[in-house]
Amino acid sequence: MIRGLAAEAILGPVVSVSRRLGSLVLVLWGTVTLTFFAVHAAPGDIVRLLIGQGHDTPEVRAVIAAEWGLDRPLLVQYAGYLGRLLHGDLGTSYVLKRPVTEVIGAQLASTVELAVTATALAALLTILITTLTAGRRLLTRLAGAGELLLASTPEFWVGILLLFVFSFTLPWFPVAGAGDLSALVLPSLTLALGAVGGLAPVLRDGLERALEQPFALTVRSRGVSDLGLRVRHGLRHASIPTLNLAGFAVGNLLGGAVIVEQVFGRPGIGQVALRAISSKDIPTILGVALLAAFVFVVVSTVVDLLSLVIDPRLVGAAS
Amino acid sequence: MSARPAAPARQPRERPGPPLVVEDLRIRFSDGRTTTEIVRGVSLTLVPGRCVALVGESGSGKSVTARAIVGLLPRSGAYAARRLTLGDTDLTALGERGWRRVRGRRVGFVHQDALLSLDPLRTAGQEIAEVLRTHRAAVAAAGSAVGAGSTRQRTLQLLRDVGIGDAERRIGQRAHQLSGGQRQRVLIASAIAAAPDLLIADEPTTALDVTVQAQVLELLGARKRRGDALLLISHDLAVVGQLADEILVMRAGEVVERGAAAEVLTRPAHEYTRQLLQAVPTAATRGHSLVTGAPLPARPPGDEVVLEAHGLTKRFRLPRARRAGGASRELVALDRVDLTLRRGETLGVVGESGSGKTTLARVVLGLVQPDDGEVRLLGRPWSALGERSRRPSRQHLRFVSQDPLGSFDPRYPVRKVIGEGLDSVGIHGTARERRLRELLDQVHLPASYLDRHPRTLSGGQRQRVAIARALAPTPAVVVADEAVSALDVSVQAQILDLFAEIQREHGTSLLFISHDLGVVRHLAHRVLVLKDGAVVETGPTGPVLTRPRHAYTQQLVAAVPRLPGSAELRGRARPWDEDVPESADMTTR
Repeated sequence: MIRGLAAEAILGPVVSVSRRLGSLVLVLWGTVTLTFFAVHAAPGDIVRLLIGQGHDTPEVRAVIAAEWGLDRPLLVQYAGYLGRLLHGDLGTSYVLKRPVTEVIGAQLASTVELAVTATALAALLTILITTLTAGRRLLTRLAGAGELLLASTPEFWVGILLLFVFSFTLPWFPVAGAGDLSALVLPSLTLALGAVGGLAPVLRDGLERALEQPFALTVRSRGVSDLGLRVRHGLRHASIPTLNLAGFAVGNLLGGAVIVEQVFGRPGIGQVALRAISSKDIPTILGVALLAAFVFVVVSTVVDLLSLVIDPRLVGAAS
Repeated sequence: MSARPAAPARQPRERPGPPLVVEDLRIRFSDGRTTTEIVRGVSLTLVPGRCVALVGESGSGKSVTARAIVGLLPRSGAYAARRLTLGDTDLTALGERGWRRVRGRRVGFVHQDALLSLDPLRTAGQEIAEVLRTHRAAVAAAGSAVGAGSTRQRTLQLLRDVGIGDAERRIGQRAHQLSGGQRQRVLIASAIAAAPDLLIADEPTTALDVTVQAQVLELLGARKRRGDALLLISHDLAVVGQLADEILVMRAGEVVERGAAAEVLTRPAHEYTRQLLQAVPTAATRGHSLVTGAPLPARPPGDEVVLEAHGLTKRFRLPRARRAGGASRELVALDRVDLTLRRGETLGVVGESGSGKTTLARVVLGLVQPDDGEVRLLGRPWSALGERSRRPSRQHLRFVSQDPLGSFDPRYPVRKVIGEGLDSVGIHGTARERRLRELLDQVHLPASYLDRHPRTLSGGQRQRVAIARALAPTPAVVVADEAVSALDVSVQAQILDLFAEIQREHGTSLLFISHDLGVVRHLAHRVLVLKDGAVVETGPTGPVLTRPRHAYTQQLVAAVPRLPGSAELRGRARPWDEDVPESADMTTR
C-alpha cells in the first residue's frame, strides 16, 4: 500500500516531466522557425555584412554567398540550419566568424552568475519583507508603496541610482566590470529589486489569505508563535501563486540583463544579444533566442515540479 | 507562568489538574468607530474530569468565549474579566510568551471542521509533531506523561490513542486523504499531544456523519473519564447531552440559563432553552411546528406519481491518485436505485457521506446522465431526453442546496436571484413584480428584501431566498440536498416549518436529502436508506427508522445522540424506545 502511494507520488512528476520534454522540443522548434524567418525578413544585406572591410564586387559576393550557403533558397537554408541544430551546431557568427556556441558560451557564465544571484536575492528580500509586513496594516502600507515604486522604476534608473549612492558617493562597490563578488552586488541587486516590486505584493496577499484560514487559529492555539505560523505554514500556502509569477520573472531576467549589463559595463549574454541584433548577426540572434526559450521552458518545468512538492494535492489533480 | 508539578497524562491522573475559573468575562469588538460588547458577564468553573458545555446559536458568543480562554481573540476584539485563572496562573496577566506556554501545553483546542482546521499541506504526523516540538521542554519535564521515544514514535502512539488504525500509513497523509472522522481524530490528537489538562472542543462533530459523530463523542468522553477537563461548545443539544455535566445556554452574549445537564435538558427554566429544545426535529415533532410546538393541519400526499426512477446506476472513473493499491478503477455511486415520489409527499434520502445521496440528486435533476436506468418526471421521460428538450420542463423540478450563497450570482440582488426562476415561465412586467412579492411573502421575508444583496442576509434568510427561487415557477418537485445542514437548530426549525407549510399549501413534492435522521423523521413521509449507492431499506419513515431491519440502518439509528427524557418536556412519548402512533398513521395513508 505504502509502496503504491510512493509510486504514485513519483509517477506523477515523471509523467509531467516527459510531457514537458515534448513541449520543450516544440517550443524550441517554434522559436527557431519564427526567429529565422523574422530576421531574414528584416531589412539588411547579410553578404555586405560578411564582406566587412573587403571589396564589394559581384564576384566576391558570389564567392562569399556560396561559402556561407546564402545562395540557396531560404527554405533550404532553414532545413540546413535545423539539421545542424540537431547535432548541436548553432552555426558561425557572421560578425565574429567564430562558432555561435563559443560566442555564447564565453559569456554565459557571467550572465548565469548574475541571474542566479539576482534570483536568490529577490527570493530572500521578498520573503523577508512579506513575512515581516503581512497582516500589519501600517507596515504593509509602507512596504506596498516601496514595492510600487520599485516595480514602476525602469531598471537602468535603479541601477544608476545604486551606482550613484554606493559607488560614487559611498565607495563601497566598483563602478563597472566583473570578476570579484563585490562587482556582482549592485547589478544583481538592480535586477532583484525590480522582481521584488512585482513578487512581494503577490506573496503578501497569499500570506494574508493563509493567515485568515481556520488552520492558522489551530496552529496558534498549539502555542506556536506568530512568526512560526508565518514561516512554517503561511509561506508554503502563499508560495504557489508567487512561484508561477516568479518563474515568469526569472524567464524575463534575460531582458533585464541586457540593460543591467549595459549600465554596469558587465560582459554577458545581454551584450552579445545587443550586438548581434544591431549588426544582423543572424546565427547569434538565433542562438540567443534558443537559449532564452530553453531557459523559459526549464524554469517553468522547475516551477511546476516545485509546486507539486509544495502542494502534493496537485499530484492527483494534474493527472 | 508558575512552576507546575508534572501532570501524568497517559493513565488516569494521580493528581488532578488545575481548575479553570472564569468570572464575569466580557468581550468587546471594535471596528474603529463603534465598540460592541458581544459577551457580557460569562462565568464558569471547570474542574478536572468534568465537562461544561456552552450552547447557543451562531453569534451567541460561545466561540469567542472559548477563544478568549486561550488569548486568541480576533484582532478587533478585547476582553476583560474579574478573574480568569487556570490553576495558579492568572491568564489575564499573561504576555505573548506566557500565552504560548499555556496554549497547546495546558489547554488543548479542537477547532471546528477538521478539513479546514488542519493545515492542508502538512501531514497528520507533521501537525501532531508540531505540538510536541513546540512544547519539547515542558513535555520532556513531564517525563513519562507523554510517552517516551522519538517524536515519530510519540506521534504514532498519539494516533493510536485517538483510535486511528493503520497509524504508520496515516502519519504521512494529509487532511484531504483522510476521512472526516480520521481528520477529526488527528485534530484531537494534535490538541492532546502535549497532555494538556483542559481540552476545549468547538463544534467537534459538526459536519460528521452520525456514526462517526458517535465515535468522536466517545473519544472525547474517554478523555473526560481520564481526568481531562472538557469545555464543549455546540449548537446541538443532543450532542451536548452526551458529554456535559453542566450546561450554559448562551444567547446574544449572555448566559440565560445554567445548570446540571440533565436538569437543563429535561426541565429548562428559561423560555429560550425551551425553544431550543423544542426546535430539535425528531419523530415526536412530526406534524408539529418546531418553532411554536403547535400541531399543524395534516394534508396526506396524493396518489399521483410525480417523479419516479428505475434502476438508476452511475459509475465514476476514479482519478489515478484516488485509487489505493488494488482498488478498482470505478466507483459505483448509484447501484440500481428505484424511487417514487407522489404529489405532496416528502421522500427522505439518508445515508453517510459517500453513500451516493448527492449523486442521486444530480441524476434526478438531470445534471448528470445515469449510466443505466431512467428518471421520469410527471409521467414523461426525463433523463432520457437531451438537455434542449428537457429545458421547458425544468420549471417542474427545482433545487435547493446546502450552501445558498454559493448558488447565487454574487452580483445579483434578491430580486434578480428569485427573478431568474421566473424567466423560464415567462412572467414579466407588473405580474413579475407581484409574483416576486408573493414569493417573498411565502418564505416570510418582507418585500423590502428584494433589493438586498444575499451576502448581507443571515444564513436562514439566504436559505429562504433560495427556497423562494425554487418555488418561483410553482414546481411540482423540489429537490433539497442537505438544505438545513448548515443552519443552527433554531433557524433549521424555521426552515423545516417553512418546507412543511409550502408542501401543505401548494402540494409540492419534496425529495429531501439529509444525513440527519432527526430531520428526516420529522419531515419525511417515506424514507430511502442509501449505502454505497444502493438502497438498503425503504418504506414509511416511522417503521423504517424505529424498527430498522437492515443492519446498516440499525447502526445509523443507534448512533444518533438522544436528548435525555424530553418526554416530560413535550408531554409525548419519545419515539426511539417505543413504537409511537406516528408510524401507525403513516401506514394508513
